[in-house]
Amino acid sequence: MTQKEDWTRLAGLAQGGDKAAYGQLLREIAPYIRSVALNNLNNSEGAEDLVQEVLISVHKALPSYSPERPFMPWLMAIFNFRRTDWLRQYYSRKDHQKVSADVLDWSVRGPVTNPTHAGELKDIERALDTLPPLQRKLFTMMRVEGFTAQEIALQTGMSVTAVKVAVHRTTQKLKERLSS
Amino acid sequence: MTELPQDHNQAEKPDTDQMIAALCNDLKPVDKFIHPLHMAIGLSAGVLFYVGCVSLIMGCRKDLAEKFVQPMFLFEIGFVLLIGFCSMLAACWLRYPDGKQQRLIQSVPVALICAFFIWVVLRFKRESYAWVTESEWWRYCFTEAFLVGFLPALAVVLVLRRSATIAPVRMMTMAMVAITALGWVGLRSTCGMDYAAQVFVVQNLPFVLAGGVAAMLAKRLFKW
Repeated sequence: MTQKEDWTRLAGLAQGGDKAAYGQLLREIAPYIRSVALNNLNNSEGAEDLVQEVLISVHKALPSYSPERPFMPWLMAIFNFRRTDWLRQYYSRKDHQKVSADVLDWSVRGPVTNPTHAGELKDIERALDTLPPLQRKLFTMMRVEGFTAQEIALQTGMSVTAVKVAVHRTTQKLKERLSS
Repeated sequence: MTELPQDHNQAEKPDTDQMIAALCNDLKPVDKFIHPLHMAIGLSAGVLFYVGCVSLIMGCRKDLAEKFVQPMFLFEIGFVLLIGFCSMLAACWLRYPDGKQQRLIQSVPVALICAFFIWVVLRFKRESYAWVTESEWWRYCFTEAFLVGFLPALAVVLVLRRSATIAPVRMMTMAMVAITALGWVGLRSTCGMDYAAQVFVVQNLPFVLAGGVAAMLAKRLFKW
């Protein structure tokens, strides 16, 4: 007897109230669902969450299973339905987790870490290190720290136009270095 | 495939093994769903019986005996009965999670509706604007349509609520098409007007409006 035929038989027995058969069925389908969920989501927590959702749905939908029909299409239909639900909830949760820029603590001056863009940031930092100190300072003040040209001019004693020109030239130089 | 970041803000969930144990403890012998074909036959017969009773109470049209020997009238009634039964069967199949995979059963009512639509267009073309001259054609039997359709629609929705559908909107749409078709048969035997505009637009409009609202509520009604 193949595994799928066995699941069909176990599901039939479970409909009759056989708890042992039902337990065996759920324990056997759980790793299968987990592997499919991991392949689909590539998110271990999400996959586990989805496994539990599917198991609960299998429990609720048990009266709708007919042993004359194959078990797998029935199970996969439930899986696909719950996966869509899970993805919908996942993305809506992410929307709710958006944080306003006003709430962020800008006093933290630690290095920006974004694992997916680590290479690009290192390249920018390396290119900045090659700049003369004054150009680097002006560029960092305006483009990283967000000071205006007038504020930088006040702090450095330069004219506003000179600050703007210096930052513009530094930006061009960085573009060339990063594109080469 | 895009890698989804882990979500650490979720509430603590029980262990899967614990959940399986809890589900096993909760298991009771289940009442299996009635076979879709048997259910469709039962529901269609019930709706037709109700429609027949309402038609008798409201009073059948005077020329009904003459109409029942006209081939065109019989063709339309038969065709719509077929649409109604096929739609009911499709709705009953959609109660199952794997019912959506029964593509043939779902495509038959759609094909029949398309064919019937061509028939309706031909009727309109043949009759031209003859119906315009009839006074108040637009509200003739409009309220009867509500009487014929409301209770069966409610009953079918209640029956279909015991489902594990993965296509709630489609299931509701099919059910509403079935009610429309079966109710329409009753209206043809009570309303003495046979213009295409009256028969196909006015008599169907209440069903279509109610069906549209029901389809919008389907996801909530058939949530499981």
